[in-house]
Amino acid sequence: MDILGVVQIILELAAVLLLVRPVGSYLVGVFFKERSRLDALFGPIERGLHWAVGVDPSENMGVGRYVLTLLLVNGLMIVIVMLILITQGYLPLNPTGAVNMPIDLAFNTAVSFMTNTNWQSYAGETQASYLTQMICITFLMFTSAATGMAVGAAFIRGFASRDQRPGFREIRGIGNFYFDFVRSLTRVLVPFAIIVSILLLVQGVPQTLAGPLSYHTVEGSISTLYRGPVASLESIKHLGTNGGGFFAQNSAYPFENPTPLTNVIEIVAMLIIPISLLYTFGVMTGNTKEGWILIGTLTTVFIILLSIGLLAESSNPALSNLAVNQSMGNMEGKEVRFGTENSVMFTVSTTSTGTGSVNSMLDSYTAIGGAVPLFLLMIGSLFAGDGSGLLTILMYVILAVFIAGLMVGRSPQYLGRKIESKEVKLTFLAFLVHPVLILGFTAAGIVFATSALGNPGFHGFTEMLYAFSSAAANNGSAFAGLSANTPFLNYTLGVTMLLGRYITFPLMLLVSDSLLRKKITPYDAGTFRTDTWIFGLILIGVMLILGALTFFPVLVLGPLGEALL
Amino acid sequence: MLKSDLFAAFKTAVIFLVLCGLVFPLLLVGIGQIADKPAAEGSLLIQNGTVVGSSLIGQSFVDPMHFQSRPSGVSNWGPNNPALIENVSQEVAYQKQLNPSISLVPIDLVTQSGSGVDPNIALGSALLQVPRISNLTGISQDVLNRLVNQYTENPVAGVFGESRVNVLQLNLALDNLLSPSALKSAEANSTALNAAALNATATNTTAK
Repeated sequence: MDILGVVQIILELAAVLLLVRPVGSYLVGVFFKERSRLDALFGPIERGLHWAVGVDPSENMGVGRYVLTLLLVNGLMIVIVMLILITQGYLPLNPTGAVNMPIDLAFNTAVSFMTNTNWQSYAGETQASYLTQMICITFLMFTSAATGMAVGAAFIRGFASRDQRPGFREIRGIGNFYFDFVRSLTRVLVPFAIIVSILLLVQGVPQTLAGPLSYHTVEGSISTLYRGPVASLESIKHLGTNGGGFFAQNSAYPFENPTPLTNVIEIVAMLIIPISLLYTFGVMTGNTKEGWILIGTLTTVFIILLSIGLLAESSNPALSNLAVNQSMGNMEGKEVRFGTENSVMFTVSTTSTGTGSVNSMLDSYTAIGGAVPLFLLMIGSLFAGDGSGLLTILMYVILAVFIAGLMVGRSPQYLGRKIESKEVKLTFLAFLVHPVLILGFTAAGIVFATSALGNPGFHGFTEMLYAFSSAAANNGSAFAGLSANTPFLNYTLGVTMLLGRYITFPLMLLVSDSLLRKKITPYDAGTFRTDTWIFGLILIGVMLILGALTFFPVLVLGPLGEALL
Repeated sequence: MLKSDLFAAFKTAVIFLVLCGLVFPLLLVGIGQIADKPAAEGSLLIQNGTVVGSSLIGQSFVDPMHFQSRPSGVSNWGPNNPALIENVSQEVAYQKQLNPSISLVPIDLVTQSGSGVDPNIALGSALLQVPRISNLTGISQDVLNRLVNQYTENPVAGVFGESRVNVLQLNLALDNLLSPSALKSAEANSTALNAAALNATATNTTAK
């Protein structure tokens, strides 16, 4: 690891942290302020959209209607996209000659992109038409991120300060799905994506409807140059914490990520919204420190895991007996233009958020290097997906408050609201979803899909474990040696993605709604404060202990076993 | 009520399918044509009127007179997979046979990349091939070193990325030097060679 590599990483993190306040404040305006200077621009568009859909965005939905509406919108999108995928061969804009997807693959793909997972059992350049890349993949990348942000905004309302602050909308309930969903798109995702697309485009990411090109290489063999409308997909892929690639090799493929600069842009784009939403959360609680402590705490875990990853990837011990100079690090599966440092930084960023794009092949990481992203997925990712990440983070916060309350012998409270039996039960149920899905389906996968494994021994087990961890966390990254395009894995992974997303949403929204109705108890000398570093440490402890206790046995069977081999 | 909810959800799906799935990408296709057409169409390299590749996509080179790029393909082999160790051993043996003077082979030359088409090798990995190519082509090491440096991309702002060489563009420039006329003037003096190399760059980067 060289100094320059460390400097790059520090600058990247600094860039993100500098953007957190302006972007976080902007998001406050988008969802929670009465008026904004941008209303003149976006207001008419939004009114037009609500008129066309025929809904009243000021209607306050309860949790039930909010979730039902979300499920209807997402469910219909899954059905429409599946229909397009199974007929893409008959549809226009198909210069690659992609054939109709079989139903299991279409199910897996539609669910994967609607749940913001972006697990891919298909190779984009050959198995998806340009039309599919646009009206299925890019479309769902926008709408799944907007769904997550809508849920995040609704969730925040339960924790928001009750003081009537000038300029802020009055919070009367969990809000309106259409209001949150449409604003996420019109004011955040679409304008941000236009800017990022142009930045990527001028660096060399293609954006064309021209088909693949057959050509003779310099040494005379025949090759095909695949291209297409890539830049428009690539921007929302990262801004929306989606992660699915236009090409099978994702952000390692030069057309998705051609230069070190595009790599930085993609890292910043994927981190910015999930982290900024924590600042937004802080503002809304009435105490920005509540947000900063969460950002600081999670960033600390990020840096610790990043350091472990960097050390692990500095060489592959298995190659140390060969006449190889490993000063560049473990370069199998990595690109020269990124080097080891920016590969590991990308990997930790993509698994700390719900993104799951990769600029290097995780399957070829060392045992511990690969255990870092795996562990991140198991604890539900740190910052997790746009909006939906808040639910995961607050799930741990509530558990930490509960456990800290037990330790000091006071009834636990968070932001002046008592955390009681109902909230703890719901939160713990939400916590249990991941272990049950990951452990249960990995066991089934190992028994029924052994032939899909791409590597022998412990590493093969890790491939299967990683797949279901990725699906449950709605991340989408993979140990890509696994041959995942089988009906068994397409269906089981699809179900894991669905349950990983749509069970957590109502449970955590019910927690938020319950807190919304609670009486606020003013702080006194005995209140356990959550805007302190002590609380940050307890939060880290809870995340690591719960994560480690739950998953230690399977980690031993996978990466730890391989490392100790 | 459920029926009207269903209808509203359906309209939402269709409206955003059109806006995010059609209008947005097509708008960017238009912007791409104006902002940077060559990049938007895939950074094509044109030689004598035919496409020989894209400057961003690496090619495989087996001719020892060419600079060798990274082994093509993506393995997804685990770090301890016997297939990986066997494959790297073979690549090491091959590189040592090609370049007998080196004792340790840089890892980028013996491992597969993440994309399978990594366009780059590290600067050092290109420079160590200069003696071999000089022997085989008769071009002086001095000239070759300068050519390598010409196709070296340095870290952005001195910080981001690695010092690396675009192997395809380097080999195209090398091929241009090896064409009879260029070779003659190259032997005559090296300033003319620089001009030829510059000329080659100009033709190479002319995109369709």
